[in-house]
Amino acid sequence: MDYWFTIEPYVYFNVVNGKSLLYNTLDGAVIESDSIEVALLLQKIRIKENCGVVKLSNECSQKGDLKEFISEVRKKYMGDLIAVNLSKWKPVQVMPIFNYISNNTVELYKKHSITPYKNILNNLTDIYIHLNKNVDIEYLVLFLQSLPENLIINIIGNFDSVPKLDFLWDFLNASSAPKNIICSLEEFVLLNPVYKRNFYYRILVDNFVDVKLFNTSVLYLSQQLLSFEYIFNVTSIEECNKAEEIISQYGIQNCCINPIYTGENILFFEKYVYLSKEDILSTKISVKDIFSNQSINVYDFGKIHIMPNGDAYANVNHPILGNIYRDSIYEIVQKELDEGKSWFRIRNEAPCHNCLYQWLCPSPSDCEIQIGRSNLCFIK
Amino acid sequence: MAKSIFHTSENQNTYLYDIRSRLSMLVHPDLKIAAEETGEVDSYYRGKYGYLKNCGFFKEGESVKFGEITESMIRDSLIHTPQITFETTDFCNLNCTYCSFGELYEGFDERNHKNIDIDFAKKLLRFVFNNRPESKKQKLLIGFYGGEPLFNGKFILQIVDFVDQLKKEKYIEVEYNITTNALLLHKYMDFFVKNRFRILISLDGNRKNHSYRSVRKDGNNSFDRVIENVDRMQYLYPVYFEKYVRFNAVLHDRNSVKEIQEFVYERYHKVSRIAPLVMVDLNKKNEVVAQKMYRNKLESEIDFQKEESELLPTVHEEFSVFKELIDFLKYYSLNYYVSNITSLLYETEKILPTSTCLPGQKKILLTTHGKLLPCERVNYKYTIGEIREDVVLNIPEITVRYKHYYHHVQKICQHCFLNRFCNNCMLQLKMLDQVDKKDFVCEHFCNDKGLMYKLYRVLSFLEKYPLDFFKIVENHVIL
Repeated sequence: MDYWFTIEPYVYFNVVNGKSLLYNTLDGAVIESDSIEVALLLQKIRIKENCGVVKLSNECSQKGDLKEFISEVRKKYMGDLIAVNLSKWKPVQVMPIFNYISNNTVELYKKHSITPYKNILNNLTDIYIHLNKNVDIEYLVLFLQSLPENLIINIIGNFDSVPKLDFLWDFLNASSAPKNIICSLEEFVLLNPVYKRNFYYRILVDNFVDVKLFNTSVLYLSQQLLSFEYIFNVTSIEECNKAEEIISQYGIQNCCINPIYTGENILFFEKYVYLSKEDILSTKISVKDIFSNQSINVYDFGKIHIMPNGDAYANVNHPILGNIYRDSIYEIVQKELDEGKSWFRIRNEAPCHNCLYQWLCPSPSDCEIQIGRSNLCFIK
Repeated sequence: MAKSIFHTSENQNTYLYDIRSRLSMLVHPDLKIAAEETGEVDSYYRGKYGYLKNCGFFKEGESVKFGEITESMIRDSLIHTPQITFETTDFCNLNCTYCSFGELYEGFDERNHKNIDIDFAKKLLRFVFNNRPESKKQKLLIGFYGGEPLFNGKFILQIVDFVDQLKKEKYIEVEYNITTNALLLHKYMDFFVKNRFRILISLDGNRKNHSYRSVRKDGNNSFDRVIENVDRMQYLYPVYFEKYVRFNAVLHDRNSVKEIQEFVYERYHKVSRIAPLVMVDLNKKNEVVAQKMYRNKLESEIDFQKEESELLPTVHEEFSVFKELIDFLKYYSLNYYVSNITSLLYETEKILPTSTCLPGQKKILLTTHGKLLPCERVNYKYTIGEIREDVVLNIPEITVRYKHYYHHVQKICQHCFLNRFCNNCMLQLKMLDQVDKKDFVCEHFCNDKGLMYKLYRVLSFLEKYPLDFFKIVENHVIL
């Protein structure tokens, strides 16, 4: 008897240099194989004419590596065999496109998602306003008024030195958009209480020595019932341990640990930050995550930073896109979509472009840029 | 509303479709039996059913969370419109029996040989140019529509000249298009070629097929004059003709999909677009006439497919089922994200009910009466602005109006099995005026059986043309 063999559409699969990987996005189950027969079978599924389904004779499905592979695939509900005589014609499997393509993926997604009939400002999700004493607050507020409603507005900087700051707070307080203040522990403690309502606080903790300062902030946040998150910037394992100690001591729920590259702590990164195959596969990855990894940079996409002098960036490590004194938000976004290096920075360069785990791996972060490597892992 | 639906194809293959995840999956028929408990099955499929159930399949679907329209969405959409279309004149040198401005229909402004006001058109163009950033990549499309636009050809020449001046002030890439009956094509051929106009010619097939398109002056079939002009253009400008000229036919009781495609392909080596007669906004007095003239496109295509025509593989992309397959792959398959990367950023999708464009999202039509409409296919009562001293767009009023429609229509959409994949324009619903009444009905409402039948059609078609999957997902951009 002949069978139709197919891989389920919720399974990510890849074949590189004769090695095969299947990842079940429903439960995280994995199948890996070095068998050439398995690699050839998966390659056959990828042939366009087959549209996700290949014919296997009973003999073929019962011999060598294929028998074991098919048995495992069925056991893990990652594929199936269906007798050919159950229907009149070859069926099809509507696979996610990420199982077929690995090159020029950004071009494909851009071609279909960024069309003249879609408002390009729909791609914008967050604005980061960087403040210092040189910022022209009145013009900045005019610029903020030109933005679409309901963008997330993030305010970063040293607020004490900013002239006419009230003008900005008044605007933000009246706006229904979600608003975050990103500031250091020191700045947070000094911030005028009048402004502290209606904001979500992302407090950067760099100073692990000043326990008193931390204590003050925790006390204040709990008394005032403010929404907040602590971000512990760590540069070594000692700082990491200290941060965990503080988190546990104060019972902090909303927090994250953010490794910072200093130029001198590569060993810390190699030992504690670089990913291994197990790290990647132990994270639950959805179909949507894989589409994201293949199309956009999840850290940068939708975000625009405005510096105190009006310069606009999608990522401050990449070239400038324009200046709000000269360009509209429409032009700034258009430039990123057309020529930018940030929103669509994905793992399409060596060595990631030839890796079995290419689209399971999260988008490249700023650490990759600062360290000067396109992968922070031990796989390649 | 159920989340997962089993369905079959013409070839008796079995599939499972999960609405929540947009996942379509080829399955063994025993999985269906296990799920529906209709017989004895291999324990493997009982296990598989349990596994899928644990992973979220087969549960009752939650209600869809519809988004809200805002003034800033409408403002952005209007000022960054990618296309302006001018109703160049309301006069037509043909007197087609089924014309949407003729006796069969109502709800359009009176036709009285009125040409468009060139100053109004210039104001609209200046407004659009002022609001667009300079760009060689983002094209502005400028279209000419009628009546018969070439009856006011002078206007077209003036607009092209004016746009050339505007482009000197701010460079914006512009592309022109025109829909014409080709009766006056010989007068403007060189001009079109020089300015790279994309031309859509209305031609209903052979002489008999085309006979509803009679010349206003003498009542004769316009076929011979049209063909003479089109042949001449093809002869004089073969390369241009190949790239820039397309055909459009209206399907009615004097032609068929087969006849139209055979004639156009044999003569011009092109596949024609085919539209059925519009059956909304009919004049009550002539409804019977319209019903008699109407021919169902899907049925006509099925008749064509029954014949073993060599033309079928060439024209199959014009079939309604192919369009349904596009919708399926672009809106309700996993590959939805290829065309909607912004959805990847949010946990919950918030969509607007129906697939109505925001005003200006695809185009703005300026009528001969100075009114602005979302497009030429909607009734004149859905005006979104007008031109007077300036471009008048009452954005708060438009927002309130659209919110009213959305607020009421979504009560019906909530129960529709195609609510996240609807491809219908709200402004073309027959009963939109009664959207807030209890007896409002959406003629496109789809229940579970409707979805099953749709999936049956689409998957059967894909089994026949598997390469269409890649053609559509990789190349077919939804506009």
